Amino acid sequence: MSGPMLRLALRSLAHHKVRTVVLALCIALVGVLPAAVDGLLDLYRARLEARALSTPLVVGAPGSRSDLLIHALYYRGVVERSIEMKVAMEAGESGLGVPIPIHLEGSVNQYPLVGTTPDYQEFRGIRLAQEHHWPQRLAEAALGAGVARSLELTVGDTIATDVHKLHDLAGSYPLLLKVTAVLPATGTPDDDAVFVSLHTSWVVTGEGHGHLKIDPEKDFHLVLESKSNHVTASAAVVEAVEVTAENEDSFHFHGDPDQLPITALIIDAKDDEGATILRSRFRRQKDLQTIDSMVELKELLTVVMRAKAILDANSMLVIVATTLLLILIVTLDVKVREREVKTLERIGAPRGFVARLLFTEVSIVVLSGGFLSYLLAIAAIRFIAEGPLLLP
Amino acid sequence: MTGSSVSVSDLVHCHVGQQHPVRVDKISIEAGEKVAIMGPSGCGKTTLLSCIAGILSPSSGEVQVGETRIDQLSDSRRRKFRREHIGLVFQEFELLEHIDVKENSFLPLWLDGREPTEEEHAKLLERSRRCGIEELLHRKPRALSQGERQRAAVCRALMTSPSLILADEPTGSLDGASGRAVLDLLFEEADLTGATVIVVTHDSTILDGFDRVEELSGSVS
Repeated sequence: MSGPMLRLALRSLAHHKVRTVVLALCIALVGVLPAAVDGLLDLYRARLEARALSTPLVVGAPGSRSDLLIHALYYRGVVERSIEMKVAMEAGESGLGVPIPIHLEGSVNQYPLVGTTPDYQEFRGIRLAQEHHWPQRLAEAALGAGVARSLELTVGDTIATDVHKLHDLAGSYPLLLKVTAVLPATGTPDDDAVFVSLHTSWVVTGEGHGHLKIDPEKDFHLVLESKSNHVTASAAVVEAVEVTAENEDSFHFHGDPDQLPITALIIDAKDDEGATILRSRFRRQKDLQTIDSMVELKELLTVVMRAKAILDANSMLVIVATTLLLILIVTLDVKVREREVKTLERIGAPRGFVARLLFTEVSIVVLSGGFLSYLLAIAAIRFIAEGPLLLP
Repeated sequence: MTGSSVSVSDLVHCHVGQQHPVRVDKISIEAGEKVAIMGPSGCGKTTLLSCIAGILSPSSGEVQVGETRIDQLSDSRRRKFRREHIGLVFQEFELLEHIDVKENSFLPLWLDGREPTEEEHAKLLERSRRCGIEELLHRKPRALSQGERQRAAVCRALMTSPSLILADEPTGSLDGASGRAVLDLLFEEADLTGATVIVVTHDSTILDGFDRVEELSGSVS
């Protein structure tokens, strides 16, 4: 392609601005979806695999394996059943690895509220700023970077948990959480989660609670039954919604601590041998299921890739249709520009010059459209990638 | 630069779908001559000019420009010959609307796949001054008057300093004064370069300045 031909092609395209822009936009729009989907899938696959690699062994209640994977690693969705805290304790007592229990039932401003132990911080290698500390006490919370940015919160602020049972006659109250840490951004699901201690999470989901002391003499209207060593109060007793120095001791859990629920258990095995032994022990227990995150993730991605193949086929059909339309437009364009073509031929345009000129014009439009498509896809990927990880 | 002689003999050209072919028995034009070709509509003036330019290939007969037998050249070589040796001026100017006058003038060079040299830039400036379009070089054709467009077309035809200038009804779309000015310009340039000028016209009022007139009516069937 010579300089003069390129110049002629560019002049012609500039002269027919509307046609050129519309064609380039059409090509860009046709190309942007498959390009963005490809880019996003690559990005998500990399993120998901990185998370799965760093969390190889997960234990939970029997049920959907993919639900458990998504729940434990990406804090999305719910699991059908929980397991008891004693599973985590036994794993810890074995000395083969560090158990990291996950209790995920509550939420804060629609962000998942993850109850876990301080071991989680070390497991994920989370480094906190000097004045920040991992939530240890009741009603303390560490915010993921995305949550803090979105809700404009920082250390020292408070935020209430969401109330899920508005029509619960026994009363269901939000718990005010005090922010003690904001996690650095990692591009993982941690960015969009709120971390609390297991006890806090249990209080939020009603496994435990705190309330003002009742004096049967003064608060007789709140008393259902009064015995020498036991007072039964009605639901009118307001539960504490904020943990203070005065009421902290009033928080308590009913039942055996070993039986308190956790929704998943991550095992940070000491070594491969420890992981194998623990996996084997868990598999022998019928009320547990163990998943290898990478294996499970690959199966999940296979399903996604099947869906993508359908999308790819659809995109291919759209591209073929657009190409045919482009050929039609170019053919019609030659007719419209018959006089220009005739002039070029009459003043001595070399054989094939007009065809090469048209090819150059079409190539410029296609390349521009393709480049625009690429830029739009990059912008879309960046925009979506900065948001929460999209998972079912 | 000297002009090319033109010789046409026993030319027959059949247009597709046309019943009566164009026939020209003999025309001979000396180098540097200015010749008007006249005749009634449909007698084959434009066909003859197209055959001399190599735009059309005759069904039979001989067309010679200088030492070159145009009718024996391949299509590619005829195109090249046209670019290098022949300047064409048309009734409807045939300027490309999407490029300016300067770029239209350089079009024959661009078709050759090359950029104009410094010398050719200077030559364009000089020629555009003589054509009276020096100030219009950066305007698109649609911003010009009819007369200005034809002068721009003449400027383009002369860009390669052709030895033969062929003009098909160059004054057909112009008023009398503009038409005369364009012809004077062609003659002036031809005098400067020695080029041969063949003008097809049906307008007998513009014949001043031609060396002779060829009538096609009697020789075309």
